[in-house]
Amino acid sequence: MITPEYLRTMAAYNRWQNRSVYAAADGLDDGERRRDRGAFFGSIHATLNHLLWGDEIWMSRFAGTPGPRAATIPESAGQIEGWDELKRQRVSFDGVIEAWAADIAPEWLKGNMTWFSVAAKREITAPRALLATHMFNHQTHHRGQVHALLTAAGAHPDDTDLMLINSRSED
Amino acid sequence: MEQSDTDGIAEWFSSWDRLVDGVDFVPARELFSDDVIGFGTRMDTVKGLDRLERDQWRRVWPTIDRFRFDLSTLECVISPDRLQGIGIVVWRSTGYGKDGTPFDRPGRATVVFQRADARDAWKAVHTHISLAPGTPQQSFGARPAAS
Repeated sequence: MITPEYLRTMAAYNRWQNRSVYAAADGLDDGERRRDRGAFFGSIHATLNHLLWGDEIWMSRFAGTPGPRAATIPESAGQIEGWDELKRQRVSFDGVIEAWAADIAPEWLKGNMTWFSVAAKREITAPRALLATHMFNHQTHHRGQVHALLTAAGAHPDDTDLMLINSRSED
Repeated sequence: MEQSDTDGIAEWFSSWDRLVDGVDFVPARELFSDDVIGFGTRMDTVKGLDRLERDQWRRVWPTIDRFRFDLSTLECVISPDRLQGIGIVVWRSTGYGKDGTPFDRPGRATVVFQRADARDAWKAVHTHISLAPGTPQQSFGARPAAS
């Protein structure tokens, strides 16, 4: 069973890693960020768009925060067109995730959640603890793709090891 | 009441939601009557589109994020001649404290619409936008306007 402290750690890790990959991507020109490099969503920009979308849709289910603008997974990759706006919304939403994690009670993690999955086209019920873990796992999965795309493009993201979170250089 | 009447109101809310979210004042004006009257949680009654934009839109839209109407909550009333409609709907958004900390910022909207012909698009003649009870009254974000 995960704990609220786990969520807070992962929320902080999410912010740290997003700062790192966005800073690395910021050093590339827009064409490089949008180049299809063969990842599941193609480019750095598209993958980061999908990642924000995924966080928005899960947080809307967990906390009732506003849902994403794009309705479907394919549309998610193009949800925010401008790089500066994507950066701004990423920073903003990382704060939303941290604020949610800061207030989570242990009881919340014990329950189930039922939602209609557009991807599966059916109603699904699953433990909240599993779903919260999934959100952070989904982040790591796609951020790992972005990390590979950045490295291939010659950019250098920060360390990614979770145990280094307390020694990161800035917060 | 025909389905197209309520669909038109849903489309109006969908269009406005994107413009609020995009801090896009100029095209948003096209959705409103010049004689619109409105009020809000903190704003006294205002008459006219210019004042509504100045006293409500420009004070709020740049300070918030992710403004979304929840169209699953939309309820509509249409007049027998189909020239006047009322839409009530719940919305959500993200607000920011002075230190930049985000907070959930939900609320409700009532909009009264009119049109000269049943084939025309709806224009808003009254808006009442209010925050849900307990929501901080002020947000301190600072986004640039698109127009």
